[in-house]
Amino acid sequence: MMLMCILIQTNGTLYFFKNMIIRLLCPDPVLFWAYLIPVLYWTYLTLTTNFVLVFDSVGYFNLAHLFYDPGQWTEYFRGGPNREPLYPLLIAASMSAGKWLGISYAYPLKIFSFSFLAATMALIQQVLKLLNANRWVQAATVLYTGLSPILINSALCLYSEIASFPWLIGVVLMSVYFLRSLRSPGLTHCSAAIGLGFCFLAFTFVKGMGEILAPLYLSWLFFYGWRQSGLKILSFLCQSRSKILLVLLIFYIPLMGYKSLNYGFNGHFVLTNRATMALYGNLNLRAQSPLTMDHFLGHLLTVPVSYDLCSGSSLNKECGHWSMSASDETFLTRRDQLTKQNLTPAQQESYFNQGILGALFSHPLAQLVYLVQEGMKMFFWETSQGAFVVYPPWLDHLFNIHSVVVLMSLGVGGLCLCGFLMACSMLKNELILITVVLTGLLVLCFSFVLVLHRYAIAAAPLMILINASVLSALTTRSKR
Amino acid sequence: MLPVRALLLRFSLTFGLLFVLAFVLLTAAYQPLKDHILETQQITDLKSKSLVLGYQTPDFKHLAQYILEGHHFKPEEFNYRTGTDYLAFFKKGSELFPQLFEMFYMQGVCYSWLQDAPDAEDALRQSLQINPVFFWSYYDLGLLCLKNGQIDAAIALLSTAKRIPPQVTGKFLHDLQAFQIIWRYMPDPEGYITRHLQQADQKIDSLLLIALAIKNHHDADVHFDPNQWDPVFF
Repeated sequence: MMLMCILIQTNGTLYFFKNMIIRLLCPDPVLFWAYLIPVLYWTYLTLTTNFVLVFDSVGYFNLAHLFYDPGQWTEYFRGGPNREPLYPLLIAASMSAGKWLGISYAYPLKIFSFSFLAATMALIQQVLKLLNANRWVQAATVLYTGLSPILINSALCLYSEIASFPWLIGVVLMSVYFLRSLRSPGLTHCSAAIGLGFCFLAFTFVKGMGEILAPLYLSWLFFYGWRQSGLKILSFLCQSRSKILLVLLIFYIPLMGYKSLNYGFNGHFVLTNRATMALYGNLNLRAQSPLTMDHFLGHLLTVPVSYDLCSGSSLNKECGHWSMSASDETFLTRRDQLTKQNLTPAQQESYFNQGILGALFSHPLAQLVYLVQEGMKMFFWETSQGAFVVYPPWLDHLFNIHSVVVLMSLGVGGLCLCGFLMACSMLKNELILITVVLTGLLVLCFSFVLVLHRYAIAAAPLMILINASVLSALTTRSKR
Repeated sequence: MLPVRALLLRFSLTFGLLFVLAFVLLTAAYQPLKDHILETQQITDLKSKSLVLGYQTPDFKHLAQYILEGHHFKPEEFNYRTGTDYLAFFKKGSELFPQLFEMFYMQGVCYSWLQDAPDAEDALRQSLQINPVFFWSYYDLGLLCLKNGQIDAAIALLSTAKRIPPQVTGKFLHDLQAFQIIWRYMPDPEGYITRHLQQADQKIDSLLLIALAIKNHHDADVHFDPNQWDPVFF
């Protein structure tokens, strides 16, 4: 019996390797070229572009040095709470690689960044395969992801968005496998649970918003899994407790550990230092802005974050009212007043938390309208005018052609918004449902803060996936 | 598993085209592509450095006003939030463009205002290494050496400054972009440059007299109050 099991296992393994070799030697030519063309383009850009080290990228660079310089890593926590750690760690790894190879750290960093983009492409293709998407749809999606101006810009500049791309798609994939694994009791087929927890953890260590997104999404996922199982709630929990616990432990233990390090070194039990300022500043700004036509239109004009509709319009001043500097000024002015009143940082934190809740529930209609408009900004992630990267002159010229700018910024943004709305009518498909819920929750989480263009970029892979899923569903329907 | 014929077709479509592409790139396009990449790297490198400096450009209106009024900045006035972070700007400029003497020169003047003599001397000496014919570098460094008691060095520097024709200095002040961004905030930059270059000879002569008197131990004959002599921007 034992011998038979070994033989079957060996035969199975041999079959797996034979299959893998054939796939490597004889890949689908359409998909092969859909991957190769972007790789050639990235190689050209790696050799010819330069990033501009200003504003937040200087912060990331300095934090990376704390990891790179020997014995300095404790300063990261002592001087904190600082930014999320994964991207500075990536830069530090690039510095080490650059030093070892005797080249500038920029080259290894670009290679690592493009690896993240390639992983995102592969994961998106895997999700589309699960949807039984046509190979041309898969190839077109992979090609677009690899050639998208803003996604490439994210890989070439020193901002953290690139490091967040594969994790949300990973969450979608792992969610599907996790739901399937719930049918098996105990810890059998638990790799999806491990993958799900890990993907959320990695995303949170790039974008702190994951700390709020994860519990919301996982609550829904577990609830959905229970409804699909058809069991009573207690039976479901008994059957699936190991896997649910596994997801939560893998996500929360390292996160709490990191927050404990912050608490131990700098007295703040937090992941990052920016949540309070972003929430208080923006929510109070909204609370102080009654729902007049001017405020409404001014805010609406700022919705396409990737394209400036404000300058040149009569509502330019109104747009300025909704800028990041106005939001930060609201927070900073209040903080200065509290400091003058000799309030301790803990007391100030408590004051701001109360202020956030107070602002949230004052003028609920206005808050809701502004919330929806803020959320719509997340769909306008694409642009050909990415910042902080210097391109070759011919490419710079191409990216600045007005029609290209409008097509990329407004065209793709509008398409993403329509795609999302169409996907909401296709929720019978489990995979589309998971993607829509994850995207919707991400948009909701960011709606509470002032959405900058770079926040919208983090949602880009999900938006591409939604559009591809809708396209795949439509092409399947039309074939029938 | 697909039949052998289909596998062979796939293999040829993918790798066949790849071989053709590689062949074309290596034989026909390699050298032009390499030249294009090297040329583009130079352009993008320069542009990215200019952009970095551009993003950090302070408001030169205040500096221009102080120069006209003859004041100099106090340490607390070099402030990022008020847009007067000139020292940080010139330091960044000298880091990104080490071939530009004017960045080191202006750094040196800022350090002199901050009464940081060692850094001021370093910066001014670097400025002179890159451009040995800028009058005001010699003047400011000579004044600094005089204040620090380095009399021989001061005499050498001030004597060299005296030999530089004013029109050479004037040309630098007119042409260089780093100076032009300050001129924009002055009502009559030409007049200002000309007046100060005319006065420069007298200043140099006075300082040389003082230096020689101190060297020959005739200190009592000449009254030198270091606080009365400020470093000059231009």
